Amino acid sequence: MNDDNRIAEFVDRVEECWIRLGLRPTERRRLVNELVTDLTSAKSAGATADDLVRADVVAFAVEVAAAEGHQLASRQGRPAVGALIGTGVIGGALGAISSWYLVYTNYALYKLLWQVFPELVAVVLLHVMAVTLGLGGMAAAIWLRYRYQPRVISIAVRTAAWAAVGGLVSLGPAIALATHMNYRWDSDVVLLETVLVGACIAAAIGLGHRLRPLTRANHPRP
Amino acid sequence: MTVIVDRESLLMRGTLDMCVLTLLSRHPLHAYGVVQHLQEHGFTQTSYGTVYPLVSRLRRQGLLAQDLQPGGSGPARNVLSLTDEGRLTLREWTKQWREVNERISQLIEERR
Repeated sequence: MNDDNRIAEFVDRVEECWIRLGLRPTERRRLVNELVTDLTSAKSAGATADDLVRADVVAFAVEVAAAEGHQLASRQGRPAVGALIGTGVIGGALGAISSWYLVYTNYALYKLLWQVFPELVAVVLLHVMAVTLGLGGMAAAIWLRYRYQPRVISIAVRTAAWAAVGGLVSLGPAIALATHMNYRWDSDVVLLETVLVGACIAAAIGLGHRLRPLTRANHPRP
Repeated sequence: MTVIVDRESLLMRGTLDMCVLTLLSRHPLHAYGVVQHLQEHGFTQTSYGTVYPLVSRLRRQGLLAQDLQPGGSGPARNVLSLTDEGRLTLREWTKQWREVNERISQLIEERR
């Protein structure tokens, strides 16, 4: 990798840190432009990439942001549980809608599954596909929002796992409610069922992240 | 030995802002130029990664000004210089440094 590429990579990594630190895009662009101009000045004065980019990227980004007066003390570099639940539920809902159209109303898929597998296996597979799409939507939404966060994959997987637990727990009350409502498909009943399942999933994510916090308190990350 | 090096870097870090202002009071420089001058003066641990955030802070505090100057055939350069407030601050810091240095020196001499 040549000097220009190493410097460009350094700037990219610093900018990623600034994104994680929550700097607004306009401010971030200003800082990036200033840094690039300064690095270019330094390079034209004879500095090598080794001279310029050997700094610890995270410490450098934090120090520059702090020097520019950004309040960083309240940011511990991990998503707030409330924001995580919101993102997860929205992603999960989009995944559920996709599973409705791609799985539950997909008659070609029904036909294929019922032809290949015994009925019980086909039913289980169908539900597994639908749940996978829902949880996949959730994990994808979390990854998209927090993609510059350290250990984002672990955060997304754990959130989806807690959501699955919440979904399982919601089965009992959801079935009880459906029985009580005589399995009606009216919009108010569907809404009530959706709210019930969503609440169980949100509570499970919240409880899960409270029981096992995302990062150790003594290791805050930007 | 590590303790000695750490202590030295700690002392230098504590006075780095004053040293940067001192260098820039003599002539305007870009951030990497500041690093080079500091290294020539024995601040061997000082790097661009230390100086850039520091000059950012000093600029925000109004002690340094930054101008983009045409670089001849090359790209334009960010050049740092002292503001009037920077000059006053440097005078004050230098005075403080001399006083503290004198007190510490006296203390060390008395122990002998």
